Amino acid sequence: MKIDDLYISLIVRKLKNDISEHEQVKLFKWVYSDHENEKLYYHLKDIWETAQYDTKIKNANIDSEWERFALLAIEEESKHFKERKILNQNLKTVLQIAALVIITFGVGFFVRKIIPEKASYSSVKVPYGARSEVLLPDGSKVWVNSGSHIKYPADFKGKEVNLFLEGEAYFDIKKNPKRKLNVKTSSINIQVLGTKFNVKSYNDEDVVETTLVNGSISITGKIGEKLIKEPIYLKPKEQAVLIKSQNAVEILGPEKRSNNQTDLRDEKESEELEKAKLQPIMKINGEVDVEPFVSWKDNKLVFRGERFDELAVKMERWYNVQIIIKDEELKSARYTGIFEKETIEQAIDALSISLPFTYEMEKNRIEIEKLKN
Amino acid sequence: MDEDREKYNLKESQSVLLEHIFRQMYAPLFFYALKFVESEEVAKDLVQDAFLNILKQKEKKIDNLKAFLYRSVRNNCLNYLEHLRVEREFKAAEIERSAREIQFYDTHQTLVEKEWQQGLKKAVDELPDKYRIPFKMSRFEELKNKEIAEKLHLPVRTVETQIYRAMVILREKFKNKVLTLFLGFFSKK
Repeated sequence: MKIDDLYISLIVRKLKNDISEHEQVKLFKWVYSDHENEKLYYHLKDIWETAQYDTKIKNANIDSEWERFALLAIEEESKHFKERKILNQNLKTVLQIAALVIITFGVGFFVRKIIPEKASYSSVKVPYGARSEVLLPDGSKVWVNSGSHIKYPADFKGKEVNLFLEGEAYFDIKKNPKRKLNVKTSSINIQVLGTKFNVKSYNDEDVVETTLVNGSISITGKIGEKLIKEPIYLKPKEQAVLIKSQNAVEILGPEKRSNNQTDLRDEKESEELEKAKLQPIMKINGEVDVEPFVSWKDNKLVFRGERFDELAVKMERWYNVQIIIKDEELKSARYTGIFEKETIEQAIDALSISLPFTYEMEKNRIEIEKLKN
Repeated sequence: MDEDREKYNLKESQSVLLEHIFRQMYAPLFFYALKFVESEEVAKDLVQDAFLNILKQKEKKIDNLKAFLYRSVRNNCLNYLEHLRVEREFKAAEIERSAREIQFYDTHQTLVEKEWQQGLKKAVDELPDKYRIPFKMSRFEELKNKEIAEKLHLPVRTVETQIYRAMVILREKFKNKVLTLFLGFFSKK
């Protein structure tokens, strides 16, 4: 079938969504003018869409949709609560379908109990100044840091188990190749086999950090409307850092966190971001010193070359205090150290030794000022 | 209490079965709905309704489950578009186009089923370079025609023609097979 170049161009651009309103009108006038044209157009559209099938159904969320359906199904069934006959009839229908399905799909179905019973979740909320250890139904363990909230299913029977996290937690997950375990945060989704890793994803922080201690995990995510196109696989001692406001994802090594290079990185990063037109980007660098990121679970607040203002945010959660640093220079000062059994006063005192400052503490509020000469 | 439970819950084997159907059919139906409605959330709701329709078929026997589900999604999409028309939330011309496309599939099959999309993947890889490269750049790297033209040092029109040719070749490959598989699929009652 020979068609005019003009329409070839319009069809291709319509499929690519790169077409003006006016051109669309023209295109469809042609499409509808002849049944063969219409058929051609739909077939090409079909091929165009099907070529991207995997991407298109990526957000289908079959597991959660099944849960949703199960609930709706109970509701539907309960409408006929008093009419047992009808209900039975209904079940019969399903059985009739059964025979058919087995033929249609040619697959035996697993004898496994799943059911339209409401999936119930347990939830642990940890206040500021506290930390908590949670034993999951499969024996895996989660440490939940201050000001964090974790939700997990009451049983782990499904093929896919979803844990929801706001804040920071350290996971020690038992290996089970038969099920998929996901840790979901507001911006990223982490798929886990058996492994140990730390996730920090506070809603009020711009940075989402995932640090892998051992095992392997893969991360997908969404920042605003932008998806991270390919899952990011982490190896032990790697850390994926996502900066929500920059649409950037990086995998960092420790050298990148040291003082001098930070500024370089920012510059380089912004250049690259420009190039990538704000597509989420990813880098893989060296080995991370995981200790400062995970030792909170052993009740140690470890920091290495950390900016005072960043450390202050951690201390606020750790001690349930509010810290106000009133001097810009102080904010960018760097600290290295460990707090273990120190009280907040002892901690602040210790910090003021290496870098002299004065502070006032009133109830839970600490104001820090530069030392006046 | 126990009796209530019994009334509420489908029996175990039946729910296993239902889940099995659901997991098999959900993705293609979702994909199918997305052809006609833009929002993923809407598509999900429309597919959910289609599955609920199975439970609502009281006395009636469902002959072809697959066809039943596709038909439900089809009708739900049409109803949804009709609702948009009434609410005037969307351009009339586009609603018209989608509705027309839905009805086209009453008599023609699409590639929604899993086996087709896998076959298509293979067929794409077998295309001659000349067509495959611009098609892939266009579809998978999501480059604009102009960008592809620059990369390949070709005029934009040529690139467009090659992408078009790629699809036409694929169409020829699938045409006969696809049309026979589900013939009569949407035969009206």
